[in-house]
Amino acid sequence: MIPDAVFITGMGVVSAAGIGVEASLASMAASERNIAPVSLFSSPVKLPVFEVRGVPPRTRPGKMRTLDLLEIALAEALASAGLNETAGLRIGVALGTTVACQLNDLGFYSSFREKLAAPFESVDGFLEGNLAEATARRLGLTGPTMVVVNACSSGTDAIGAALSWLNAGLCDIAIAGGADEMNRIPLAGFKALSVASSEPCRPFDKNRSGLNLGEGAGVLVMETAESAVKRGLKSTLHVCGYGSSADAYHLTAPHPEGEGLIRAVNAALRQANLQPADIAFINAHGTSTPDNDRVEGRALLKLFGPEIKVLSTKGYTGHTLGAAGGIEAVFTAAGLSKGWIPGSAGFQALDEEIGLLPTLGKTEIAGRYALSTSLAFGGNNSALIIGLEDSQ
Amino acid sequence: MDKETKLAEIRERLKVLLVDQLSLEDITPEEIGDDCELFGAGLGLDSLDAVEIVVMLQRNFGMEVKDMEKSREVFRTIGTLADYVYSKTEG
Amino acid sequence: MKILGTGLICARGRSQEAACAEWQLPDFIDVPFQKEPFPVYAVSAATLTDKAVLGGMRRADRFSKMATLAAHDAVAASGLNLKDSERTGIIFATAFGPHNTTFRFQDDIIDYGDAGVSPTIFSNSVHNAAVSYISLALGIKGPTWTNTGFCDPFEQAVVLAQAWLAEGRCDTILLGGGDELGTVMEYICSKKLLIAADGKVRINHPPAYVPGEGAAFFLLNKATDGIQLDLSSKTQAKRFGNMLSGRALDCAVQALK
Repeated sequence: MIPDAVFITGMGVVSAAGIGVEASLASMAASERNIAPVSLFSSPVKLPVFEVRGVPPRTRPGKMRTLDLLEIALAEALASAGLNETAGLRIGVALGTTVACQLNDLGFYSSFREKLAAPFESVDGFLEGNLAEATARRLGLTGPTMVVVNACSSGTDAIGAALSWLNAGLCDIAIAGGADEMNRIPLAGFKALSVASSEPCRPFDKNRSGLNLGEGAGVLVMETAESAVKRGLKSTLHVCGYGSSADAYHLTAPHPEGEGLIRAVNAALRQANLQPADIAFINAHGTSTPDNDRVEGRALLKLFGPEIKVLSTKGYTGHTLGAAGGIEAVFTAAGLSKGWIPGSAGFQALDEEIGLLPTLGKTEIAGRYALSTSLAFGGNNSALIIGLEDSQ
Repeated sequence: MDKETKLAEIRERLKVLLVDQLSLEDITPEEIGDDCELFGAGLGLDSLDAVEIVVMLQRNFGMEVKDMEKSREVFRTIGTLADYVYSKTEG
Repeated sequence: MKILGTGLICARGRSQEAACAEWQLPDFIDVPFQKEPFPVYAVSAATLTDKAVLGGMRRADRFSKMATLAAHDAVAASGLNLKDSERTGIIFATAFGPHNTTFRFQDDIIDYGDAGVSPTIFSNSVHNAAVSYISLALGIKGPTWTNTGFCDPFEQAVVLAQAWLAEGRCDTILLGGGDELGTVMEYICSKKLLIAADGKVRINHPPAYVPGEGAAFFLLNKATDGIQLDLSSKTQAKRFGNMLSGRALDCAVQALK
């Protein structure tokens, strides 16, 4: 196995595509797109979104929905990793988010503005709700904890942090991924940036007109080979490379030549000791904005050539912000493991300016490595390589 | 008020708003020419400023800019922007 | 990790000036939620004025300006030119991020409606805006990261920086922490902490706090000579801490002396 590689021994996911890995895969295989007007709160912004179904808006007053979504994905991940008991194990937690790190509660703030006093339920929920701190506290974990807030690359970056921790011997097991909820405040923000579409998103399509917001959580359980053997686990999936690089170009627009992304992908390939030809498919960031898809698509074409299998799963989940990297890592791992990836939902017509044709329907995969890319507002670009070992 | 006077008034108001709302540094409203290019070589505004101008027009003139692509020509100079505002509010 | 340079922005001023300043009582400001004046250690507007560094950052809020100045000073103190450096990373730890801008954005929603908000305010309201500005201002092209927590985000950032240098992900790292004051946070502090009414911070039982703001940065590489910054074992502190993120301020002041 690649020296820096660590095993993926568990995973869990929740999004508009479904609750759990199997349900999500079945939904994507059936080309279902659970997009609808916002139902979780009232908003004059009439944009379609991808909400998680079957999860009540709040399980407890003051507790952030992001934490609820995380716990669903986490429960599946821990169960699949056989981690019902964590005592005595060195476990770290690295999670990405964009909504849960702020006091995004208009009720609290309106009250404070009006009356100079406000109930503290949501404040307490916020102070106790740092995703990694809350998880570590709840499970009694003693390893490093980090919440990465790098906007849209947060989930991928959290997995990258966990890879670094495991290779540094700071923990033996790491829970890593991301979570974000549908929230009125970022919905207003993305509308204001004129990057959200009033139609279902169409990643890489010639006529794409913007993104749709989504929510969810995606979590991997990563561990060293030694730890997995000690716990009697056999896993064929592993994280083998990670790269992260900034454009240093603009507060919201990506570098036009995708320079930061190219550097990040090359760094991940170098760590994994791989060439572009080794990559079987790419789960692209593919938000469906004119800018992102053009920049990302052209950069991936340059690196991998026109035959590369590429898709964006945001056509099934929406753009889940800090959760995206975690959710997409799970889908990437599942794609390798199952030997197929779904069609890139929303795509109809080739954009000649990009020159990449994403998957048109369920597509068989024969290969051992896959790449997941994330491009963040603010210019950070991240790339993650997941591999499939032959089982011993 | 005749059209030219109204247009002049809109141009002056736009200059004040641009400096204030976009936090432009080292330039006063008086120093912005009517033909000054807003993007590129002129004031050097960028894509984030473009969407901010959309909000500025909405709040100060009650206008909606529905199509950002069409807005390229309309947002070219103070003059073209003022013409657009006039056509939407007075015309 | 070797400290190549440090930068500091706080109520005492900027970098070297701040480190040498004598102790002063905090400012006592009027706040809308209580009659009594509220003690704060606030960064002055004069400290945040530096056209050479902040010119071209017209949109940036105070949070991003504090972070950018401190990061700039750390690099300047090192004597290194990091423009276009792909091998320099940034890790910035914060507890509350640019919360003033977060609440300004919520003001927009309340005053103008969800469909009438400012995209620039939204862009600045996210935790990672500051490192975007730092990356742009200094031309740094390695990984640019922000992490957040209420217990020990700066210590977690130190741990990650050590790992990155050891694995060769970066050759140098701009590592820092920062947080800002604001009316809503002062209100929350007034309810959650024992505020030092006389302006004198006490660490004994009971502790008395004075909220403050600032940013501190270290430029680090993996050399083992010179003044070192390391965290070989980590303890978790599970409590609501000060407004300032972690102990970056203390470390920076020590390193500057």
